[in-house]
Amino acid sequence: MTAAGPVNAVDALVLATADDEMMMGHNWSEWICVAPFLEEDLAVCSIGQDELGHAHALYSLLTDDVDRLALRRSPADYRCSWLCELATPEWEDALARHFLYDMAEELRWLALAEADPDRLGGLAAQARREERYHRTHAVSMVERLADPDAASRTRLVTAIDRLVPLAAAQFEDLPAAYPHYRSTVDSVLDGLGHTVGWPDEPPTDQGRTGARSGHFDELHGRLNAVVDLDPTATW
Amino acid sequence: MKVYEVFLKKAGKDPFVHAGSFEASDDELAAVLARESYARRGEGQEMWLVARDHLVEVDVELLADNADKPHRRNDGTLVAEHRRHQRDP
Repeated sequence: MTAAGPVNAVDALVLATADDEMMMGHNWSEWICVAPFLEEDLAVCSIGQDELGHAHALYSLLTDDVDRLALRRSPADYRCSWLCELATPEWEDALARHFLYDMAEELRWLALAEADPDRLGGLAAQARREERYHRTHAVSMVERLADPDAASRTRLVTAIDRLVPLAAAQFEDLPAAYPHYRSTVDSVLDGLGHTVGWPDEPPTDQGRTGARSGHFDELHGRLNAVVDLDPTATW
Repeated sequence: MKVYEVFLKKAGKDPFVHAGSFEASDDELAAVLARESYARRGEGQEMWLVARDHLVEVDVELLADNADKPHRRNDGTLVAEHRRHQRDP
């Protein structure tokens, strides 16, 4: 990692995954105390805590100053997908993203472990153990709330449909895993009698190249709200 | 939503102990959510979840003491009093 950014393809994948995890971790933290019911509140805030832990571990591979890398870059230097920086004030959007993100994450960790087994294998194994729970949780919720008989079905499948293009764009930097991703998501939705319209290829310039969505600045501002009070303070 | 009662067992010979309760829509979701509410910090190695509907609740009248049978109470007070009397008549 240099001031100009990651020095190789593996580091670029590490940074993009770290940024995804960081934003997802933060997004979940905003649901603390306002998730639909207590048990779900506890589950998603602890999933968010896991994601922040993964972000920290990945950033640590790139820098000694994790806070600075995580928080203080200029927007164009972030590599998170637009899916992860999307504001989701509605629960169905948060849940649809949870499902579409965590199904993708498994494939990113596998790719990281494969790209550099010595440096990333152990971390990936530990993260995947936690991610298994995230996926179980996401799929369990989707199976119930998108069930054909559930009153919530229309809201949730509409949210999934809306987010599918952004979900596909997660794979701009990992196109080889895109077909597998589509099939794992489809296998869950098939069981619920729902079909989504995937783009043939992952859309480009939706996060991985530094282009930022309209949601980024506000999110980045909230992340930095405390540091901005006194950027020179030692924490 | 249904209420589930949570029982946790630590490693070793300790028995399952009631840890609390929580709500979930069905057994499978209960199994997914239980960990985050009750076992995130290694509180137990094994867990039972029992839907409250399935518990057999015993009539409290059946549990009440028989007022005239204090000897059934094995709290040691009668023996202690007897020994104190023997030691210090």
